[in-house]
Amino acid sequence: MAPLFDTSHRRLKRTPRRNRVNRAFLSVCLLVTSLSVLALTVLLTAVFLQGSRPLFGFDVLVLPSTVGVESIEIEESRRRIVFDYEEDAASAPATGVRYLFPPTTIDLMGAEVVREGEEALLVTADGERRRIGDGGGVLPRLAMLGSPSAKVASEFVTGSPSSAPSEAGFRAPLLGSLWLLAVCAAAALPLGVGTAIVLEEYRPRRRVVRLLHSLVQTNIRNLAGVPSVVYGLIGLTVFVRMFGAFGNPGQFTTFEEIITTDGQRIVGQVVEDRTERTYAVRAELFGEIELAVAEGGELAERLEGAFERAAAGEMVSLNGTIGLDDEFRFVLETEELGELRLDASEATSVDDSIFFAEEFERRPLRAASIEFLGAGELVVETPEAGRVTVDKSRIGDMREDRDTLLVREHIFTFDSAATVTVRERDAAGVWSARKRRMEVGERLRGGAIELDGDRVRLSSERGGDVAFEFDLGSTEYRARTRFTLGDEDSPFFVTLPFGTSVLAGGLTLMLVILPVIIIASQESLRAVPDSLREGAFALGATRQQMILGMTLPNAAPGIMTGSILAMSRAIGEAAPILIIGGAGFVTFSPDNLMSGFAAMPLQIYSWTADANTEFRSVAAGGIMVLLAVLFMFNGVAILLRQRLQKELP
Amino acid sequence: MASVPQRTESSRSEAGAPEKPAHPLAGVARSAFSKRDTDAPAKVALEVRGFDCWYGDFQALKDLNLDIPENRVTALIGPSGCGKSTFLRWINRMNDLIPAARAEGGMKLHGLDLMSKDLDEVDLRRRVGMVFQKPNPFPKSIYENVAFGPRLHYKMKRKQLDELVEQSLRGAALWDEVKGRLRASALSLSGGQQQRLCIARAIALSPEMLLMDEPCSALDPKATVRVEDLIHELRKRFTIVIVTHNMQQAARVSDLTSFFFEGRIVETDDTINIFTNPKSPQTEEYVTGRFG
Amino acid sequence: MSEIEHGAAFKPLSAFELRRRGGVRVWLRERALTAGLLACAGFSVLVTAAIVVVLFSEAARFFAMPEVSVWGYLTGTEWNPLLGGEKKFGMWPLVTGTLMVALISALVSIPLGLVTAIYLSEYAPSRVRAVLKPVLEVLAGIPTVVYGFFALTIISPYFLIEPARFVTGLLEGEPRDVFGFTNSTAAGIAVGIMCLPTVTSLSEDALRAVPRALREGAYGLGATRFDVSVKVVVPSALSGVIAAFILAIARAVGETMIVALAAGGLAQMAFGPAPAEPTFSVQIELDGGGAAGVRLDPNEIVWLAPMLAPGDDPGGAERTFGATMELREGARTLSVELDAEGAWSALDSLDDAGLVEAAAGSGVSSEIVDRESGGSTRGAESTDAVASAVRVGFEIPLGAFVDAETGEPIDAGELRDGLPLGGDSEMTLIYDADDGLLENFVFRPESSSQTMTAYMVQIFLGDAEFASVEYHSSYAVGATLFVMTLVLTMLGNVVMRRYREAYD
Repeated sequence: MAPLFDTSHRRLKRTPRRNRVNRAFLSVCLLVTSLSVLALTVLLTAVFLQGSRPLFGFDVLVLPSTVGVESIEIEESRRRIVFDYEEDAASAPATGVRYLFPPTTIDLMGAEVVREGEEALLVTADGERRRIGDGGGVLPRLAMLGSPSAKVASEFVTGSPSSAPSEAGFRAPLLGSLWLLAVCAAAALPLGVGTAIVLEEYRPRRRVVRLLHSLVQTNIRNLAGVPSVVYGLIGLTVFVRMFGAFGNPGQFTTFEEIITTDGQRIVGQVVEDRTERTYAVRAELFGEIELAVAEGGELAERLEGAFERAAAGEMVSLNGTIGLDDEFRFVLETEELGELRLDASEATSVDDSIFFAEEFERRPLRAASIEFLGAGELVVETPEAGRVTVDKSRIGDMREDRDTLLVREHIFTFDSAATVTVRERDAAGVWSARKRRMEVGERLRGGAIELDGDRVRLSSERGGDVAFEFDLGSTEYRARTRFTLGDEDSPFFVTLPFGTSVLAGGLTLMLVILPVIIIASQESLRAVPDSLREGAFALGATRQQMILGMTLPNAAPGIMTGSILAMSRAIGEAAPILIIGGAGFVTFSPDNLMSGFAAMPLQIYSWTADANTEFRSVAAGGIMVLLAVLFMFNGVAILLRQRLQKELP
Repeated sequence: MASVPQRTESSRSEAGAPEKPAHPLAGVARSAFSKRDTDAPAKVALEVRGFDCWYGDFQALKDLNLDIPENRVTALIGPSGCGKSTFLRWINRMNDLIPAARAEGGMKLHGLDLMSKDLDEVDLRRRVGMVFQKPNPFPKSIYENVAFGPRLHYKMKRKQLDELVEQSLRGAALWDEVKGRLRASALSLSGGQQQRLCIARAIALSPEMLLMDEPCSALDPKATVRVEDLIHELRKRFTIVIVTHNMQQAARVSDLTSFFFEGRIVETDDTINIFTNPKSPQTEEYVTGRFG
Repeated sequence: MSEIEHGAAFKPLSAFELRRRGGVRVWLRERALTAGLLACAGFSVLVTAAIVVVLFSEAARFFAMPEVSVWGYLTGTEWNPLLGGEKKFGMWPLVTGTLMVALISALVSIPLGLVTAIYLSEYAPSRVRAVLKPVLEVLAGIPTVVYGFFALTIISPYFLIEPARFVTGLLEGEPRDVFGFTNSTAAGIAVGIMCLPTVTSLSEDALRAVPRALREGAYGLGATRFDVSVKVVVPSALSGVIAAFILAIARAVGETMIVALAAGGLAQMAFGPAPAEPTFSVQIELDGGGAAGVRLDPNEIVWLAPMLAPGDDPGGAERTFGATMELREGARTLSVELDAEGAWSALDSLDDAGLVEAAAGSGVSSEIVDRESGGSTRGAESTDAVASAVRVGFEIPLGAFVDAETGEPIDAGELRDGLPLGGDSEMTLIYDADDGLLENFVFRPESSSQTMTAYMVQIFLGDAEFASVEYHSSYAVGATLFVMTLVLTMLGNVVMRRYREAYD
């Protein structure tokens, strides 16, 4: 029976070479996928080649094979490269070779090896002659100069960033990142897991609530797509500045570390609205000491000089002037101490004439002195301020024995001329008042504040012996309150606003990874089979018991893995940190929540972007450390996942 | 043709002429048989000799020997897991997609050695079509589904393709239902329609053999009837091998039946014989419903 | 653990026992826990609210400033906030910069990612998968700073600048710097590599979700693996794949560190041979009327640049100097000595070693005359002397002169006749800087450009005062960026959900 179909298509032309197309596509696929592997390999190799020097102490060079260098050796001092040419490699060109420390480049182009008697000399193109010796070594194509040195690696990781590439260290960024991570985790984990629990375990039934639920869910997915820079902006406004509720930046900005020539470190804040560059040394018993520093070393010299000139118990007369500044602090200017500012509230007795001068004038000191007590204390005594004790160690090392500062410091800055009534109370407790004029930009500082209708009363923190009043209505002013909470010794010290601190940075990072943690936790919770939940309910458990006792422990491995992976993402985020202001040249590691900080990705960025391309290899070293940390994190996450999953059915 | 003997209950171990019980499907087989126009004995389309296959270490098919006739419907029956589908999938070498599958033996389709290493399995599948258990139309339009196969293999002009699509849909008894909406998504059809679409898709390539792996098991009874009628029609043009676990279907639809059990072919015979007078006791037990 | 064991682990209580045992306290704890959890969920809503409030209120403050208008922002094609003078705030240059990088990254990540996904899902044997998937995960986990470093130090020099020099050397005879030291292409490629794992894994998920039955149906019709992958699987998974693309683009748009490092646009990075450079030209009034002008190569007269430094007017400056011009017999160049007395007053000293060296290098002769001592220093030495007079000499090729009005070349004879030779002439130096460094509303991937994200970072890295227009502008840019990525993310999620509905 003939087929009913029109089979003319059997005589149609066939589509050609289909198997070849298939094979070609497979080759394309292989090529493309190998590109990914290739990209990763090139990336890691490049980082390694460049980072080997700061991290491991050796240089990996690529020399053209025409060089014919037989051996390369590093001298013990690690300062010179010594290499041996083959006999006939007279005119071998090569790429530039770097010395290790200090960094110097020898251009081997056009260099020759010349034998002079027993010695072989390398004569470079511009006539430099260096003696080269023989020795064993590796070469010729890829040369490893020197041997990996754990010591160099540890120096890198424990040192501080500096302006010299060869001295650069990574300790501050490493610790700073860890602090950031701790804060971020402490905030993000509870919030993230909590949100995930709500979304997964409390499935609503009513239509309205269900709508809310899906809205929140969509919202979280959208938050995951927000660029981290935007979170940086949010963090800046909400955490750093706190909407300006506590004053605005421009007044306390970057931290700088002044390393004096004798190694003393003084932490200061650069206060920008001064006319000349001064460093304000914070957290002293005095409140704020402003020290004018002309050169880096002079400060310490001056201080040390003063201290050392006097043995214990000696009193040294001070020559200089004293006055009040616009913040009602005594400005003591002496040869010995330079310029010292003493907070009026610390004064044990006050010569009131100083307050009521028409203008702030500097007067010569009358019978002021420094007394050097034993154990590194000194007492400054002036008629104006009485006796104030300073512990020398407080100047030298800011990290020890710090007292709690003023708990609350109110600062009023006058934007228009105003009249202030100054009241003072005498020994008998009687208040008397005078008026004086405040200029624009002047500031009043004090501890207690009272609002009385249209008037503000500001009293000094201790004792209330002096009070200032001004009219709210007729005055333009900016008020700022700086709150400090807690002991400066403790790591949990907090001031408001947070400013550019580890706390603000960690919270900003929390914003970045929160959606990630929520989504990952949700998936882990979803993976817990419903049969377990039903079983629990059937046995009469409350929802809380079920969640805490059963669902959560079961989902814990997945949640932990997801969180660790989110953390590793947080470590690598530089953009939000940049925005909130962490880009300063910070060389110390944080010791409390309000500390400024350096972060690993940020330091890498600074080094990479530095005009001095020597810093590139240092950046590569930093990258290797960062990748090592990430590798550890991911490794822990994978291990956890494997180990904990074994325990589940 | 064998006569239709009477059957009575008795033990098979008795010698002589045992009395067998009445076969429940005998009637079906007979009535189907009578409707069929069988003419001269068919040529052999597929020749299977000593065919074995393994999944890894497990031997799924053992020493199969079978001749599948041209222009007939051959049914492969047997309990689940006995290798029927596996065998079917070797005919168009779909098992090549499974890395652990391996086969040895002889299998020739119209003289083409299917076990040869040089076999172009892509071209083989142009010549041997398959319809699957669950309808699997592509998420494209009805037209695109049917045209997919021809487009792969042939360079055709638009008009030719249109004609071919129409003929294929007619051949699958679907044309009247979809002719106004060829661009509609294939997924908008009902289950039975989708399966007929898959049949249309397969016959568009005018295959030498059409393999059907339990084509009706996912369909409701009404759709099943339509597909069975279709098979009846298609038989005129194509060689069909159908795997089914539904014995009524086998009895209704096929000319030749082969009974598979635990990887072997127990018995192959004209359908009418398998269901009225099977030679092997196992076959007997299976077709009378004692197991499987 | 079986369900029963698990149940026993946490001491189930019947409701009665619960009330009896724990009473109000337990109930309260339950409520407290619930309240706490709800607060957590509310926090995420709070975050979104914070984003919207902060961005848009600060942006509103930006638009309220006198230099800025919403219309100007949305339609303006110049962005010049930091160059002093007239500030311009049109957003398109930044948006173009971002889109350029996003486009290049899409060109890298989408095709490569899709092909990799097809390979992983349809072709790859399990051994290859076991290697490739971890590799992709590692690529995805690398911090973006590292990619930026990679782009700047590896991709740019070795894959773009050097090959371009090589190719132009072959084709044009002389190697030319096509790519700037920082350029959008390197950044785009690095962003593409960064997004590659995202595209791959999301696409692969989509492809794998396509049921096996479809593939079998296609194979059964005699399709090759290629046919199946490309003609059946990908079209079936199309919405999932498209969702992957959209989400990858969203990520590329929001990327910061890579573009900050490699695409330049930041003040401290050196600009490569960007086509947009300020122009210097010279005008001489010819005897007999008319004026001849000639454009000077900025590299050759970098020495002169400070005399015309932007200062207050970045758009351009003009200064006329006394000049002595000499045309020697048979010479093809005009010798000019400019008496730039007083012009150096803006510089404290000539100790700007870079300039001096550059001058020396370019062959421009220069002489610094110290009027007090009468001594003069030539050329490359830097000097502490505050110059009260400077004579700068240089040569201008005669053929370079054109009519200052029409721009047509001037006939050489006419030029010779008209040149005001001798010591009493004047020459006007014109500096035109409207081709500013940030003119990037063009598609020029080989030069540096500034993206929205890089700009935001620059503001906070640099010297913008708080509450200034620049400070607030970054919030406005941030708001724009947020809207862009939000739209993309929402679109991607919607497409993804529709895809999941089809296949779950």
